[in-house]
Amino acid sequence: MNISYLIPLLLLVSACNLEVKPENEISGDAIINTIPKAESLLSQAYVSLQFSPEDYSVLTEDFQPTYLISYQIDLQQYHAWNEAVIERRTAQIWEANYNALVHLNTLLNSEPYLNSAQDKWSTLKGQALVLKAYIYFDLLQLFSKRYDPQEAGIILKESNILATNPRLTQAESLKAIENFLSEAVALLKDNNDTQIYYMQLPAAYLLQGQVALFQKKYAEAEQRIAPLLAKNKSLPQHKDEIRMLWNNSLTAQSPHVLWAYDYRTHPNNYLYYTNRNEGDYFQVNNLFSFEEQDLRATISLFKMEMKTLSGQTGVRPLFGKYRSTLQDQLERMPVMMRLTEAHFILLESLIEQNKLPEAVATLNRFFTSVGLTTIPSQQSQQSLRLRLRHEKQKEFIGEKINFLDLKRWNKSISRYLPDSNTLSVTIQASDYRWTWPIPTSERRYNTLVSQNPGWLF
Amino acid sequence: MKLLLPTYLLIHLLFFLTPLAYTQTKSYSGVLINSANNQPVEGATFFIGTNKTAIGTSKADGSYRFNMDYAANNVDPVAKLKIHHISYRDTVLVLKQGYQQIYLQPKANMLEEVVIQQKNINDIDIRNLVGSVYEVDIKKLSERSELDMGKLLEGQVPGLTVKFSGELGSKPEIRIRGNASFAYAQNANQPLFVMDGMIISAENFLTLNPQDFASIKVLKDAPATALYGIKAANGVIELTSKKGFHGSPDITLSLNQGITFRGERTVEMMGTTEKLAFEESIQAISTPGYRYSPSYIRRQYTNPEELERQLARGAYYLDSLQQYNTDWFRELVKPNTFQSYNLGIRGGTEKNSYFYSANYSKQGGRMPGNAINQFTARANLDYILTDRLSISLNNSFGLSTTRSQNGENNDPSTLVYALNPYETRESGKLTSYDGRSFSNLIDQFHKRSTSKRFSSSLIAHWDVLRGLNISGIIGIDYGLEEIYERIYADAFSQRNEPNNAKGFLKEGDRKNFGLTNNIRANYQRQFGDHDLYAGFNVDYYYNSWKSLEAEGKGISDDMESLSGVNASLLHGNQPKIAGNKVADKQLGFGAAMGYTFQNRYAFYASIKRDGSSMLPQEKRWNNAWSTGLGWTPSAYAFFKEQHIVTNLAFKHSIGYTASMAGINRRDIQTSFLQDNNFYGANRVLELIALPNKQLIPQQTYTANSSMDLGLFNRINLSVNRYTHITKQAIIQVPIASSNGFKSYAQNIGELQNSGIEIALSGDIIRKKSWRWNSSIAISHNKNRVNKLYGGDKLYLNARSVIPDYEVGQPLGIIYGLQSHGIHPLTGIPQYVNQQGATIDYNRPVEAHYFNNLGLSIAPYSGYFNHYIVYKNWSFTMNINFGFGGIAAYSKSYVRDAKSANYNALKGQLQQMWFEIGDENKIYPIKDLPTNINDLYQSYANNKTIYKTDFIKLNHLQLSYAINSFTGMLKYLKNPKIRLQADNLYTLRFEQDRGSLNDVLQPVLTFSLTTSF
Repeated sequence: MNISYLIPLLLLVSACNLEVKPENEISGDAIINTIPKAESLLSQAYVSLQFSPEDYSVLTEDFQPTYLISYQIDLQQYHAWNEAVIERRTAQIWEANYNALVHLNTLLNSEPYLNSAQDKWSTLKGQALVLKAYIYFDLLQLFSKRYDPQEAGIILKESNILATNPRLTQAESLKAIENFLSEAVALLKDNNDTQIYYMQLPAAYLLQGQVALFQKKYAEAEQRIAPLLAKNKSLPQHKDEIRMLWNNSLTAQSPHVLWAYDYRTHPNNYLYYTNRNEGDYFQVNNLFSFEEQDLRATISLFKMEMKTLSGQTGVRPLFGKYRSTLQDQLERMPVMMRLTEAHFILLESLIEQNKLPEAVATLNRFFTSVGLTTIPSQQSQQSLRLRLRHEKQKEFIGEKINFLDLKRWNKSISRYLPDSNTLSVTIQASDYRWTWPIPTSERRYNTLVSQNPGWLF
Repeated sequence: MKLLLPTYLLIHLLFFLTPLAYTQTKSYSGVLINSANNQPVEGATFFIGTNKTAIGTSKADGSYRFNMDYAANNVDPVAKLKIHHISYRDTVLVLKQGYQQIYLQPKANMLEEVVIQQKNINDIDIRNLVGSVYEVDIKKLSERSELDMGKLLEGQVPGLTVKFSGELGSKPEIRIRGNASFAYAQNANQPLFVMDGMIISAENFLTLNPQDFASIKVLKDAPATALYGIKAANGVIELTSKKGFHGSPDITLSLNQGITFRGERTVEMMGTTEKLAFEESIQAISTPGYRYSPSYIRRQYTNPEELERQLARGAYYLDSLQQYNTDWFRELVKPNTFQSYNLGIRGGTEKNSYFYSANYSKQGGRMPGNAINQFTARANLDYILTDRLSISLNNSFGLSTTRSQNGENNDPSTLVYALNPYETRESGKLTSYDGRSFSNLIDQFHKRSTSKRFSSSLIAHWDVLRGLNISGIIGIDYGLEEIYERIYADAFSQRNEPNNAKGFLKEGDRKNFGLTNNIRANYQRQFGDHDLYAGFNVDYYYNSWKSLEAEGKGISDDMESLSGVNASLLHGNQPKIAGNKVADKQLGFGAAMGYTFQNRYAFYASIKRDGSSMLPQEKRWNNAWSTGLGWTPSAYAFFKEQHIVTNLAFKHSIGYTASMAGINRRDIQTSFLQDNNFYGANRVLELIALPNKQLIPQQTYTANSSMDLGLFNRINLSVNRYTHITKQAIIQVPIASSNGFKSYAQNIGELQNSGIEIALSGDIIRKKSWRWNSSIAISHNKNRVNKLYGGDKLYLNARSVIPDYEVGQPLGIIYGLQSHGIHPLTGIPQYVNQQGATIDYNRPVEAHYFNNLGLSIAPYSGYFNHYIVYKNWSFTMNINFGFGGIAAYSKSYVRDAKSANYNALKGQLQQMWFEIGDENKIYPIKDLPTNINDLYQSYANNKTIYKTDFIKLNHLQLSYAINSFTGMLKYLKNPKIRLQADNLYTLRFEQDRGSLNDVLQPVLTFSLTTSF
């Protein structure tokens, strides 16, 4: 045997290409070059949001703690508006929102690499822009003060390159949000995509209404949601229709749900005590009582015998959306936007524009739909305003909008001791905690941003 | 590939150069030395190659001198010489011109054999003259009762540290000369493992059988590692397996039987009396000590009759608990057995030789069900095809199974500390684990990991011309790790699952495949006093990892296959699959040259250029170079006239390596992860990281100086001093979270790692039947952050107030609070800041609260070994030690109101604050407010740290060689019996209150080794 044959052989093995295509990831700058890949980025942006109902509902007046809350200190403290816990949780919300934005920016910046299917791209771009507007508007409502055009607003990020940007003013922020939305509306006009877990054209209209309401532009709000109500005027009328709202799954389309989030777990998981049969950490606030003929009386809540602090048992109203027993553990999609909200936006716009008779009619249309008796047409603006606020909070128990409304309405709210209607503390409307803190993860590495007033962190 | 051509040309050039330096007669001189005791060897004969002509004999002082006329003797100038002596192994080598020291290995009880000097392809002689290479005493290692290579190497090599955590069979952290990267806890600092010239994975290294190896070398500095290029920035561990020899077969059998013991008790827990009293004081309603105490009962009942009845009932119940005092450490931690059987067969003819070995070992863990079973086999075949051409085929196979059979949380050792002394195996309902019985806690979860490895390499060595040889290796290293996890339907965790979802099975395969291909041309010639070496190589490494995992619920107890899981389950119970595939390639071109003059001066330089597929094209090629000088004053003639300083050598080297440590593709290029997550009906594509297009590989600069001093041919002192500087060190640096990510990879700073290693060894007694050899080594390693680009402090976490890295400071500092004791009125711990003012808990934590309490990485480590021989008896002792580190006490066994149902640290009753006026307490009030609790739990303070200094009696061995047997046993040659103890005792200066995991089990073994 002659080894000289072996050497070229050995060298041949060495003579290779050093390009190795990774098999478990996709790598490269122009790699988002097909519509399915781009759509996957949109989906990821939604996943990145990491929406969780408890982040908002626990801070509102929707719930009162039961004795079980003492087993879940973190939740108890969040409910008590503990600064440290708020700071920690809201930082995650901030980070999740900006992570979603990176994906949206990557998607929107891939336009040059996507050269096919123009109409599909415009739908996708429109959907991405709605989500982008939603995220910025969320950040504005949560991390900035109540509407004041001169106050600090959001940090705008339009690329996925490392940068530290200053905060815009609220006026600039709102301008940007409105632009995203109007562009999205134009792109989505002829869209026939009906996937419920994406925000589509109706969601864009609703967002426009919310944005107008936030700026107290009531006439504009009325006008913005008009196309939405024109298309589908009716509210859920029957018990089954109402129940369907909370029973949605991917396949079940409801005309009343504009957007539901693919949550992959039970939306009320945060309420469940470790031993499910013993009850929830929270019960529905006693402020919200449902008359017997109210169609929502057995849907928004259900009654259950739970132990109390004194050892005896008592009947409590437990949160009933998405479930009717404590044993229900099925995954459901939390409803993020629904048509009913458009009615309430209309109602609020009418009241604030002092179009009182129309307002009463709108409110009565709602009452009729849930099986309640109507109210007489002679109402003062203030009494209607208070009624609207109470009814909206009651209708949207356990939903995210309630927290944002409380902040927008400048309301003081009460905290109760566990298992009791005794007030522990009142969170004043002027409390600094209504404006969430800029997280340390931002402030520490972005010197252009200063902390919101009041926060020590 | 462009570089291949020059390599070819250079090799060809060498062919032409060869005849220029062809002279016929040479003179040779030198000294023969016994490698075991550094004594000169008298009466050894030199033979020429095949015609067995004796040409010289060594004198009384070991010296030899002869001239050699190749033409006259009709011998090929590249032919090897054989050195023969009755008491030493025959050694075959090519003599160098001029003066040469040759070490002979004493036969002791070995059989006569010819050792063919075939080495690892990158193991170049001259590398050893200037570089820092430490050879481990493999003979001692192979006699230990330990299955884990990591544990065997612990404390054996100056500058090599091995750190363990986790259960039996978990992967240790191996470091050569400390940490060169910022990310000090990760694989970024792991050395490269090379077996017979082939790169193997760390996992495969750990399961090798030490008895299969002839040498283990630890390469620590640039000249030693530079030939391995950019993979070797953290040092190399090089293993060379045993070979066959020319002679009749030698069969070696060794049988080891042993017992493993419980090991030390890291923490004392309460007995029944103290625990019940503690429960009463802490007033935890879930505990019997309080629920049945008079104080609680009195509060519950007002009716005097009922009260009386309840008091009596409570007292009776407490009395009945006092009957028990279970020591859960003794109950759960059990002695076990150790077995190891090893069979080796070596032999061969003049033209070919073989070495086969097989080993079966079993080591039982201290927790029931935890055990390692290991089987390894090896076949090494060598063929001398012609005088100039030989090939070897090395094959090795290993199978290792680690089992554990644990509680739900996968760590049964926690039970030792959680279960109460008044609870027993028979207790129906436990206080510690509410609602469960003891049988609900153990045997809940079965885990088995099987690792199968196979490696095979073909090595060819061709002496092309005089002085020129070409050798090449193609080798594959394949590892398969199989994971199996099982929960049966009757396990406690399954009780709430619906019937069709009871039972859990997870199986997974993780495969790694490595290909090594290295060709090296070496040219070595002597021209008078000048000895010249030049070498070139091309190497190629391919590595791939592939994993496949699946799990499912709802499997019946009779089934053990994934086919039995319930695939129809939904909503979080559905079967899950996961997989991963990664591959990388590296191609390198290297050149090295060396020069020695009269064995007094040595010079060496090497350069390697490596391309890696992990880097984008424009950054793909990186360099590693090294150069070194050696000066050996003891090679001068005048030195030989005195007998005090018998050896003196100095070495100095510097080098540079670009390092692939810490680099991932995702850090440089926009990369998306596409896993099996969906949102709605759509697949998601997740951006993994924010890419940093400016990222470049870390650059490691090393400098090493050493001195070897031999006195009276008896004592050897070796001193090594080194500095490693890592520039452009990479770490995940935090960034403003509005970028969508909280961190990204960045070249952030410069890290310096320096140290000194001193080893002293020698014979304390050296008589005819009496020998006592002793060695001591101590090494000190210090690292320091030299620079941080753009600042002097780096905080890896946005919340941290104490920097993770600070210019001028070492890595691994523990910062903590200054404790001011427990306030006697409130029971709340008090801390003072650096100015001595009490800390206000209502304010966010600030940097001035913290003090530097010490280093978590112990800077001093070393060993102290003894080897005593008296007639047929020999005794070995190995002690190793570590000094200068601290650690924070684990507070996990200090119980508060919420955890009082678990057993508590002994003495907590006395040292805890219970009521106003309790002074000088150590532990605070039972329920601390959250903000204080956070501070109390998250940071160490000056009262909760302890020194991790230890001295460990690692290994003791007593062996007896039996001279002769009669009768049936007369066929046994050189039988030896041994009694040995490993991991015998660790002296700690302060008690660790940590887990059981870092305690090594003592093993006492009796063994018999014999040949046939």
